[in-house]
Amino acid sequence: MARDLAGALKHAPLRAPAPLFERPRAAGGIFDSQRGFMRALGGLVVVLVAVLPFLDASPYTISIATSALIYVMLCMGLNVVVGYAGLLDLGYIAFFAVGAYVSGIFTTVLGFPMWLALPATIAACIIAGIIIGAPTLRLRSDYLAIVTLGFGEIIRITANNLDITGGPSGIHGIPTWEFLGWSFADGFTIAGLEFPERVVFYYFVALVVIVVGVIGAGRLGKGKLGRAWKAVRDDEDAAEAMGINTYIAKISAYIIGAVWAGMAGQLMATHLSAISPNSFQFLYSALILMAVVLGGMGSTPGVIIGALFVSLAPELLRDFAEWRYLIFGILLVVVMLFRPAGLWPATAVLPWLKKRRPTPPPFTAAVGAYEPNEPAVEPSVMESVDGLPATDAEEGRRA
Amino acid sequence: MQLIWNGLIVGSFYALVALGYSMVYGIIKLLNFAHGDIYMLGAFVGFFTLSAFGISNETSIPLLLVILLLSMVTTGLIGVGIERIAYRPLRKSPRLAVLITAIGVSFTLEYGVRQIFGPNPEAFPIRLESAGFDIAGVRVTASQIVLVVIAAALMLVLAHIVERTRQGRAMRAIALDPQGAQLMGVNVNRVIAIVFFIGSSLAGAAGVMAGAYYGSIDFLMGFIIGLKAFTAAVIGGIGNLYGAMLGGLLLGLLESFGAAWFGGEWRDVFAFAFLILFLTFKPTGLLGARVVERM
Amino acid sequence: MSALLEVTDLRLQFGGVKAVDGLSFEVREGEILAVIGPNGAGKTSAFNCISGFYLPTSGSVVFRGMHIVREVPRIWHTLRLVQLLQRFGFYRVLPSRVTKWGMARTFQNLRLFRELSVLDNVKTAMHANLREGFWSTLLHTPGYRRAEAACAREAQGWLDFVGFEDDEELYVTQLPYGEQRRVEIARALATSPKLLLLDEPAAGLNFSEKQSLVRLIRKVRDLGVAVVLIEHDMGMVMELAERIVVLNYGKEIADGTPAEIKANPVVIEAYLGVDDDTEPIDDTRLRSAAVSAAAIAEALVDAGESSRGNGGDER
Repeated sequence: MARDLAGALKHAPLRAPAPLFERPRAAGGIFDSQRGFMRALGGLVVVLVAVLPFLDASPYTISIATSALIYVMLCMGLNVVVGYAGLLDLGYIAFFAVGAYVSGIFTTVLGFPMWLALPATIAACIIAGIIIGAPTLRLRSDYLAIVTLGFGEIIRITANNLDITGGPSGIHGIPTWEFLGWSFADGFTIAGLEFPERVVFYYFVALVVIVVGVIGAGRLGKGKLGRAWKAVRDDEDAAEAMGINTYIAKISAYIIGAVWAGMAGQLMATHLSAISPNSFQFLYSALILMAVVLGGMGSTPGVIIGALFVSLAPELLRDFAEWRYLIFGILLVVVMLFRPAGLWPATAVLPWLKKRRPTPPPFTAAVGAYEPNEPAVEPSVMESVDGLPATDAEEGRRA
Repeated sequence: MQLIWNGLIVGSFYALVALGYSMVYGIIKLLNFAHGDIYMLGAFVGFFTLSAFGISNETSIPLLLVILLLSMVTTGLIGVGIERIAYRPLRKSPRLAVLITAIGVSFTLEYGVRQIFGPNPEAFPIRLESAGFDIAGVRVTASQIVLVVIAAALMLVLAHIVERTRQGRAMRAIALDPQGAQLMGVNVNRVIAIVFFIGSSLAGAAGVMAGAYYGSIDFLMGFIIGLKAFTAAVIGGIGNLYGAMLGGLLLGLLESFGAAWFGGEWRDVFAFAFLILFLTFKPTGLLGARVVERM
Repeated sequence: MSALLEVTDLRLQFGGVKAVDGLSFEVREGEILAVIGPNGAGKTSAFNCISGFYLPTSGSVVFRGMHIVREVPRIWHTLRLVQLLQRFGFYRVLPSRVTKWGMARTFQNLRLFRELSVLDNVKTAMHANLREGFWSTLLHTPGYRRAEAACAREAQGWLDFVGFEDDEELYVTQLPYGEQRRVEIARALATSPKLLLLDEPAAGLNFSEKQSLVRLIRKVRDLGVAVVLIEHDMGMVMELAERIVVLNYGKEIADGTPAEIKANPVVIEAYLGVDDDTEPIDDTRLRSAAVSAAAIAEALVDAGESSRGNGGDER
């Protein structure tokens, strides 16, 4: 085991001595581990969402549900930037706009099929992320917030003023996905069940993309890159001292956030088949940020809940629609004051697992147990001391 | 010449709002996102009072001054209230939390006003439309002169407060070292409240003046100007009051020329691009002191 | 033994204050070097220059043959563009690069990642040594799983090495102070350094914790890692260090073995001052510490508080 693990690390002058004891394997069941439970819950949610069109396939429901899914995608992207890397991005909707416009222009003006627009969208978002991030990410966090806000406005105003983006009226007639002459617009029938409307089908595409997006963002957040992001968020200088190039870490968070938003933008463009600069106002950047903050920054389940709340609440509570922005504003202040980690904090432990914290490792007294050929000068000082963790081990060794 | 004059008018609005930004930032290092909305609130307080008395299409300058004072006091108090409720409990929190709270406050103000006054622009009851005259080929209206004079007077008063009074000294002390100031017997909370009062009332004054100048007000009018005022504060060197004034005027001029050369629709793009350039190459602004980053 | 780190004529100015003023010293491979000096003598500033956090005004720092301080061509000085260029990463070596070259450091006031667990704190330090790419993370390839497993094992190894005895799933803020110190050292070691800079590692520790810290530092040295520590606890410095560099007003005033330093009149003067008005404001323990070997032993007892008198060993 240990030997094939060694190859997984780069060559380094210093290796840690082997752990003094083997850690117990983490539990993997549905109810006795956080990870297992969250996976099961996630699977259940996906199944429930996938079943929705079979219960209620009215265009209205499907349209709302698709928008909500796209919101989830956007929020997962912003969560990488704000939740993991701790960079406040107030112009996040700009990347959404870039994705929507690039796919819109590629399919309508240049006449490419939708699937070919995907790489273009991703490339454009990477470039946009670098352009916006490169000059600004050296700034302090509050400056960064307002600069991104400025960038968001620049993108929107530019879209409003250019001819290729259709000016204030935007782009219309964006086609849906099609492969080899077969288009989603044609509808489909499986096992006697008809999917007549392209929205229904489109809903499934969105669902697949979003599931991949959510899992992908979550995985990135747990790996080496995710740890680097969180380290930068907690303490930039210390992160730098740990050999993390904080600038690269920040810009990578930015790029990934941008790509996620761009893909959401492409889904939105096909879903609505029309886009206009008005859909990319600061208001929407703020709404996405609210979703992330309300749900819990850095917490995947929290962010999903936040996204669903922000996108579905005005639809489900019609009377509330008028007041929603005011209520969101107040809610944001209240959450920051009283529960800054959000509804489902990133550090949350399932309530029934709390008591089953892993037991502390056995009493090892590693410091004392070592030193077989300790210089003879100082033991007189060392070992005459009470309460030293070393004493037990020392005695154990002598015995 | 016309461009310069127009730029100065707009710039004096920016400067008034930027002062509040800069003061608050200088003293508690908080980017008060809701500051632009205080400006909007100032305009609406004026609108509300005048409508309540059934006044419309008035042109009297004394009335404008009365309304100006009234909204300055009101917005000042609102500013203090916001600080007390939303910002003070978070003074020791991470910057991100405070910023997000400020966005929440901004949202609350904007959409609160929208709920009360409706989403459509309202006509401001005082219009200063007096005949214009030409000075050296520049079209100048009396209203413009009045506005510039008021703005200049307010800035002079502020400069006096900060430079000459006890409270002003306390403000500068807190800006340098909050804990030290507290140990020296400065009531930090009180001074911060005063700063919020002054900053907010200046923004409120700018709001009323903008209402009287442009003639129409709406609940989102503070958003762009907040952004611009921040730009102005950064150009001048955030935390530095003269810098804020200078930055405001400079931004007004830059925009006026930028709009003339590139077309009016690019005006905002021009301003924000300037902000980004400044922050990238000279984040301390024109008059800001170089901050030594210590760990 | 060859020099691992060579600092030559290092100068750092904050405005008019000369924090470091012509400091020169070297660290040899595998030795324990202590840097001492009264408060404000420029020890931490020098550390920050060496590890790449501060950009010194002039001087050179060479670590394993690589220059940490880059020479800036004269033209940029005359054009006054040095700061701008350095902000964009020209003519400077980032601290992360210095760490990759094999120099790790801890901070004077603990700077752990507060929102990460103990284990993740240590894993974070292995950033540069981990074979994980974007796609392998997304797809959870076998390579990624192996890297994560190796990373966890290595991190556990370091935690055991420093004698961390609590639950490694805890957040660092839940730990007692002494354990946090250990985690910080484990984290620094996980970057696999050749040189470890410890900035006041014993600050806030009680006597027994200090004793185990002394053992730990020796253990680290035995791994072949050179250790440079800034420390105020004279008892600990005298016991641990093989060589001592004394700073005052940003300059090196003495360099030698503990015995030499104890006897050095310049050092005693620096700590005590000649007149009352030049005397640095300092804690009494520190002042008495330098008077004589006897006083050092006293300081040791002082620090131990509850422990029995073992000053005799020191004499």
